[in-house]
Amino acid sequence: MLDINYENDVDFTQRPNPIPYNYRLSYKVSQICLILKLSVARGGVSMTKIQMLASALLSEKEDKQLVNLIKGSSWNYVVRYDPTVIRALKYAMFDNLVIQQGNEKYRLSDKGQAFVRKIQHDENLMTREKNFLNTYSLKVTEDMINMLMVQWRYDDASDK
Amino acid sequence: MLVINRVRIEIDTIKGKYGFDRSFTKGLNFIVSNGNTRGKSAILLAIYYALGFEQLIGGHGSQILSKAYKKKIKDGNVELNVLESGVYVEISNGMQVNTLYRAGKSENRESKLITVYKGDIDQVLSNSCSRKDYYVNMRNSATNEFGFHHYLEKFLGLGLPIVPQQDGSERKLYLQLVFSAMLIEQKRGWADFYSSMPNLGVKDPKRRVPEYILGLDKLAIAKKKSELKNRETDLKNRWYSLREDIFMEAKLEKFLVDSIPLKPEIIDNDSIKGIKLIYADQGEKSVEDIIEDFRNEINRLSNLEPKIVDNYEELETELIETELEAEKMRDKVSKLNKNLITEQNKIKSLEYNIQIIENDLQNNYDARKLKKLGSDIGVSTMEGKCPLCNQSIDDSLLPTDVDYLNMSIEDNIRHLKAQKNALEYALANHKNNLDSTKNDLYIINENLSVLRRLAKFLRNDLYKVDEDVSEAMIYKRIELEKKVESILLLNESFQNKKKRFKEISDEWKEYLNDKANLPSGDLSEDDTDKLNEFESNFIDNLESFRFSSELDYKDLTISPLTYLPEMDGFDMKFDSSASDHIRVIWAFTLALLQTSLVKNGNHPGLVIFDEPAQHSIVLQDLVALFKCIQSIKGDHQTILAITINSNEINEVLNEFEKENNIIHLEDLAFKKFQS
Repeated sequence: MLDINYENDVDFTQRPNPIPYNYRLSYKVSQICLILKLSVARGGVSMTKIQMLASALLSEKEDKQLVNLIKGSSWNYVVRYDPTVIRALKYAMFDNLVIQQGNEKYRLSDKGQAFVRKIQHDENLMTREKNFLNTYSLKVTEDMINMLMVQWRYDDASDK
Repeated sequence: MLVINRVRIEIDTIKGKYGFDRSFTKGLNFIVSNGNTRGKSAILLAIYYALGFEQLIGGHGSQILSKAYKKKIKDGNVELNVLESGVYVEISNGMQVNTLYRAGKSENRESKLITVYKGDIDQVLSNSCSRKDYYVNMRNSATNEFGFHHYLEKFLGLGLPIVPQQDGSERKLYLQLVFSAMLIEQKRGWADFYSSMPNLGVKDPKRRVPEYILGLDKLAIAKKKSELKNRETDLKNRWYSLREDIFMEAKLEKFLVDSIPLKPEIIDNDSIKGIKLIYADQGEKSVEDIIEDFRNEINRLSNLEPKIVDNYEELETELIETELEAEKMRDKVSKLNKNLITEQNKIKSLEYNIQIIENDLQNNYDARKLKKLGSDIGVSTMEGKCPLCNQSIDDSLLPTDVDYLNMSIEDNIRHLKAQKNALEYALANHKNNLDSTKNDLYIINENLSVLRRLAKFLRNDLYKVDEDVSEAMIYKRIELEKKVESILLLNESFQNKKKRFKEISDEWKEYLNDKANLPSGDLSEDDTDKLNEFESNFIDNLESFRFSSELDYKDLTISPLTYLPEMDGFDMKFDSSASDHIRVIWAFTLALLQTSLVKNGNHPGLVIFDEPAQHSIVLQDLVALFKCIQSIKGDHQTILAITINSNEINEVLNEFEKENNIIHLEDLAFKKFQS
């Protein structure tokens, strides 16, 4: 008979992976709702603006770049289209928190409004986001974004 | 002990005073009626209400009182409006008799007020005794001298213990909690042990109450243990810091300290002599020897010809040696400086990382809150479901790989906390290293500057006119004298600290003695004794009530942790029928009383069962309950409220009537008073 010595086997146990809060679905969805609420503009908020504000909330470095753009001290700004933001936005739309309008811009639904009210009610919740958005979100205007996009066209042209 | 002597309920109507007025005796009392809703419970309510225990019924103030106290009562077919109502309850503690009055419905008396008369009800009605008002179920009414429960505690001589609260503070055990173990109310009382116990912020009330009733030492022991623990850490800390101080001081003068144990120990006078300073450099000499050496050296220097011409060569070799020594020191200094910078950088980066993790943690807490908020208003993604297809999805925006397990937010928070702990531990270590490096640097720099000065004087001497006085020699003498002085100072403070070691060691001895005096387990011998008695009483009671879930009574135990009955280590209520459950509550409640009476516990001696015949208990068992209560020896009072639903029970009661007090409600309880 062949004896198999099971004691010497090596076991691997799969451990769960940590997920940074920034890549949590629930966190991102809430962040997007907050962005939409705090940058109320007539006619909704464009995807590019959501992306710009969401990236600014990623780190201090990104934060500074956007602030520089707003203050007009630098036009050297690259819009980062983060796929995770797009995914979160889709989830938020299917969850009836966010509505996409005919002009392709986004706004909060009634349910979304109710959710954001709850977030705003809790003073200790998402304080960093609230501070930043309250100060800067209205200063990122759609005009400015259009200018930025026009700039790309020239930059691209000169590259070729 | 607490005995209810008499209950008088007064209800004023337009047709005059209605009410109830009967006496109760020590021992077994019955309140019986032929049908339901005749007012048995209303009478019991009067007792609860007058004692300020409305929380046991589950309400505040006069809320708990039935309709008859507040709205309408019936007289025959006529319904009368209740104008005012109130209850008198005459209580006795075995020595004195007092009467409690509390208004039910009243225009000008608050229901929070309870009036205590120093006399029986007859004296109260004839207005011939003094009175005092107390308030009840308000802030501090258990401890303030105008609080009713404070009065009641003193009247009954209960001496309630101070117990830990849920918020970490300590307060007195509340009377309501204690009485919830003996007043079993009709609706909620039969659901579980202590089921009517209100939540008053006491931690583990279901353990504190039986501990108090049986008079266990456990709480006192636990308190002493935590006190000892504090003393231990305090002594250890003081010992450790004193030891550090000594080492520090000694190091400055290049001394080592011999034989101070790391942790507190009992040191006697002999071993305290063993603690001594040793000079680190030359062959481990003692303080006295070193001072002797230095003094000799000083003498030698002053006897020496202070002229340079005599010892030119000597000076030269000395200069070379000194410079070599200084060079070595400089080397050490640069190494230490390098260390210092590395440590500083490490600390900086660790602090940065900890900052990041703290930020992450905060955001994860936020995520947890957001998820809850979202699922509150029905956002599917926050409930872990896809809003489109309702399948479960992970709370992640990263590309989903089927084989990956993702951490939940809770796990993530735990994970981050663990990381933070690890980093904080590393940070503390590096800070320690930094401190000790700084210290070493300080000492070495000090030594280095001495050497440099010496070298300078030596050099000066070498280039001087031969007949001059040697500067180096004078400098050396001054340095040596300074050193002797500081060593003497060190020695003095060392001797003082040795005395303090002795003091701490004496306290340590005391601590060890106190620790040895405590029982090794949680329970003292007396406690075990009481619990055994409690257990055997409980099992005897159950046997006489014919507890019938097919079980071995031998397997039943009272848990020394929860003081609740257990079967083979499991909570027994899961394994018994409804009627058995009632028997268990009878047996348990009475066992508390029986044990307290035999073992001198703190049971106030009053037990009230409202409708003990719940869940089709057969008559035979009910009789067993009556007999069991009758057989309890010692001062106690039990009040049973029973509905007569058969002739047999009537016959049984007739038998008991000879020896016990039976209050028979023929019709409604509240009748017109004859005046």
